[in-house]
Amino acid sequence: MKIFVIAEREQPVSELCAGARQFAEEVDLVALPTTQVVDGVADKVYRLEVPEGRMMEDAYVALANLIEQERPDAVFAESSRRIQLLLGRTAARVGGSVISNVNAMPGAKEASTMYFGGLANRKYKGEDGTTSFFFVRPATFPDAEPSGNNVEVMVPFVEPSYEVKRTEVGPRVKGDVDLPSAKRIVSVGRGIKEEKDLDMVRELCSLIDAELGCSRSIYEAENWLPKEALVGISGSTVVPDLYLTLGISGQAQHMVACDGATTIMCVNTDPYALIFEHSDYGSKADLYTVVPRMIEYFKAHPLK
Amino acid sequence: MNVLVCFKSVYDDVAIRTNSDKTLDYQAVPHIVSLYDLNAIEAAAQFVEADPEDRNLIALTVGDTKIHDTTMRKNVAARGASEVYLVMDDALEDAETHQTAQAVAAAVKKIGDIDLIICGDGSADVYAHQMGIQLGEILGIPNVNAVIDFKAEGNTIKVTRELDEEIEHIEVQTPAVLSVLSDMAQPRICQVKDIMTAGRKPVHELTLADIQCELPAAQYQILETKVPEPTPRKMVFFEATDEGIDQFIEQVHTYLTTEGA
Amino acid sequence: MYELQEEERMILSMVDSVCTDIIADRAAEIDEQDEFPQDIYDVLAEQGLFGLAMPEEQGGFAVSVNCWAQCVARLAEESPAVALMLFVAAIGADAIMTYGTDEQKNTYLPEIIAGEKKISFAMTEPNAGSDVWSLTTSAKPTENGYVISGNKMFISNAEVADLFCVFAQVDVDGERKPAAFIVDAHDERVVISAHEQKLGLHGSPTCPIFFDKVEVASDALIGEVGQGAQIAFHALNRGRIALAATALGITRASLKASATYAEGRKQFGQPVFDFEAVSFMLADMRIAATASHGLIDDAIDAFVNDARDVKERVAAAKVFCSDAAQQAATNAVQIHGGYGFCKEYPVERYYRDAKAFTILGGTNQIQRRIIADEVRKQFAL
Repeated sequence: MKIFVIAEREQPVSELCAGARQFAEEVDLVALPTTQVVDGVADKVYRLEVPEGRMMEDAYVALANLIEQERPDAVFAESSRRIQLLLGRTAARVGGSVISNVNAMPGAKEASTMYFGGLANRKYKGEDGTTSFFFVRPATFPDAEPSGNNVEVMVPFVEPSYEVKRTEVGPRVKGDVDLPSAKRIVSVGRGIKEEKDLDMVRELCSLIDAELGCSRSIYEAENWLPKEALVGISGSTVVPDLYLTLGISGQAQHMVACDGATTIMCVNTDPYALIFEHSDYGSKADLYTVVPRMIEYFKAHPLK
Repeated sequence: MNVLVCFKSVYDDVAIRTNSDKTLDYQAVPHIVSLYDLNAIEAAAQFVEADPEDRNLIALTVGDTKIHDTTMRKNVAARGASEVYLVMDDALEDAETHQTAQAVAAAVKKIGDIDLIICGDGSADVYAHQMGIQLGEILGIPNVNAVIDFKAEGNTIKVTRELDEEIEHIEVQTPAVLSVLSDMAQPRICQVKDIMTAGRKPVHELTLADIQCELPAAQYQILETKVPEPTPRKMVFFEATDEGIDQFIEQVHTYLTTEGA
Repeated sequence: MYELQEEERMILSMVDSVCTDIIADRAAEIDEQDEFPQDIYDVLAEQGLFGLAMPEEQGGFAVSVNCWAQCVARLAEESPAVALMLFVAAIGADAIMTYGTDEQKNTYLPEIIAGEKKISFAMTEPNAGSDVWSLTTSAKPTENGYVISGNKMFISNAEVADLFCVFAQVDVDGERKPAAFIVDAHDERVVISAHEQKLGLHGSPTCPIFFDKVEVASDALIGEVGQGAQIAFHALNRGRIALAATALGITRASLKASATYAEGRKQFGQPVFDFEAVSFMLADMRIAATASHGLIDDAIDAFVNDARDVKERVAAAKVFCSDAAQQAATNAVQIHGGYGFCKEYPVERYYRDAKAFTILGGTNQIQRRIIADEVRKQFAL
């Protein structure tokens, strides 16, 4: 069994290599110029070469050639925008289809995916003898460990048949939030009435060293928080130790994105809100009472 | 300039119910235009309406024969398309990304003379972000995703992409395929005149045979589609009393100083 | 009941989007400010809603009166004041649509449909409600037209109107004959006073008007002198259908708010929905909404077919729908308990608005008299 991993950020590089190692004797990492390669995660590291001034996704011809030559049983990929394009082009070139939103993998070619934003799980099994392409969501392999010697192999650039001219590239101005790697998240929903009320939530966040997230209703209706703060199927998937929700009702599209949290706590005045069914601990009190008292408490009992 | 916008027809998930064996019950569930494809239609319509003399918008969907819904196609026509193509064939039921892209590519060739193809970010059911990309590759024309803005200067399309970490500006020559982000344009609320004229626009119903498309074999089996069991949680709740609030806060503190430290 | 055509269902679904995306956020504010919401008017005009049941020759869309009435009802679920914009335009333009010359239709209807001109229906007077024959406003024939003099009361949307459809008596050889005229609302001899401070329907300004010897040309006359009563009855029938539909909207809104509240509100460990006293009120609201819809369609059937008993059937719809709305809004407040009495919840507004419809367009007592007269004709004579 041979599995290719394609990822950009450090965490998915490790996670996907570790997951692949559960099934495969050979795990090879395919690295874009932007990939944060982690030591000791793969047998080979294929480095896709991209000439100056070209978009990285143009490396797909070389990648497709590599896949046809190496015939991996599966490709596990991080669903970044660049890899979506790179892998889509590659799959089309080798005549393959791509399975996205994988949230569990019972086998190297078996994937459970989110259907209709988490309404249901749809399970696929890749046909033997083909390369199966999977976009795997964060936290799909929680207990796996990566291994390997990271033997470097350079993959020379091959020109595509058409030209895409890159004229300019710059950093994207993002909100100062990084939810996917956060260990603690406090997330707010409709229960927050005014933008200024976020101040007390921010104070709580700083006391317990948590990031601030939000539900879709707050992101879309109010625009108080940047897109990076959105937790949900169309935003970030999070896997913190603690996910504390304030005034969030707990709709399916939100819950699938925080289901990987070790512990979920909630504060909601509606004791019949869906969120309680997904919570380890829940307070039925008003967040406007609970939050100030939490702030008081953690000031008196600061965390080390 | 002929602009083609592709849209997927999906079950209206609000109306889907669950059977006792946790499978989904689609009975009497209507088909609608997939949510983010409405944004793609809007982005394409705004582009065409910016130069209505020169630009023309055509809409295309492919799927199984269950997508045969006259209201849905009129809805698309009302949003600015001058004609609508539907490729309907039961071989396309639960089609994989490559199969769908092959069918769309064949349809594009059948329609002919298309300069620019607009696709959405992903479909409401599988949200794969793949169709436009694979389509472009099969047609052998430039294709990019994550498009947040584009404009045409002659045969050059200037595109802005919003990536995870970067903003990227690129240029491609027509014909090309752009998969646009849903943030690019918010779907319009159609006007009465759009709705009343929609039914008069030509609709072309085609089969895979009509577009000379032989679908490639599926590469995955669908084993099951089931509503998941929720992750088991402790479900310890505290009342909205002074005492209950204190207990809850102490619980948060205990957690953060022990297992969640 | 009338089954909407496919395009009509799409239009209703569009109106639903307008309601949820745009009007919902403004409804309470419109009530609080009590000013004509021009922004919402512009949206309705842009969407083409003033052209719904208007002739295609003048740019209308000629959908069924049933579809138009259901759009009115849907708007009223969000804000009756907004729904009344469609009522005012329709009752104001009815005379031109039904009795106007081609020239009058071509002059006025396209602007009304496009929302560029607002027309109000000016009939009611301090001492004459629904009785055309006892109007005192006069139209004196001159060489080139008429001079209109008199007072009007309770004229909906008068302060934002560009045109009035005015009913006045013409003296013909000593005999007073009612007639209808198109009058420019911006004429300096048309004096529009500040709007009344009303219990409800805030945002739909109701004003007194004084016509101070207003000169109009002879082509301002709609139909013929002496046709005024018949013109007014036709317009009033159209208007009463819209009023019935607006009332239906309030019934539906009351039901929706109450059912949601009753399900969420827990007392003695269960949703108040589970208490029979509450659930039966909700069931009655549903029955009232369904019956209202049926009676509105029946009234429309009579209206579009010029049925002999149209007056009675329209009156029946108007009476039933408005009584039902008042009952539904009262019960909605009751189900909400103390909260229902507070402005925080919309049912307080439904309660104030609902009352208007038992009075507007002819009190329900007058409507019942119309029906009773028909009953007597059938059985007592």
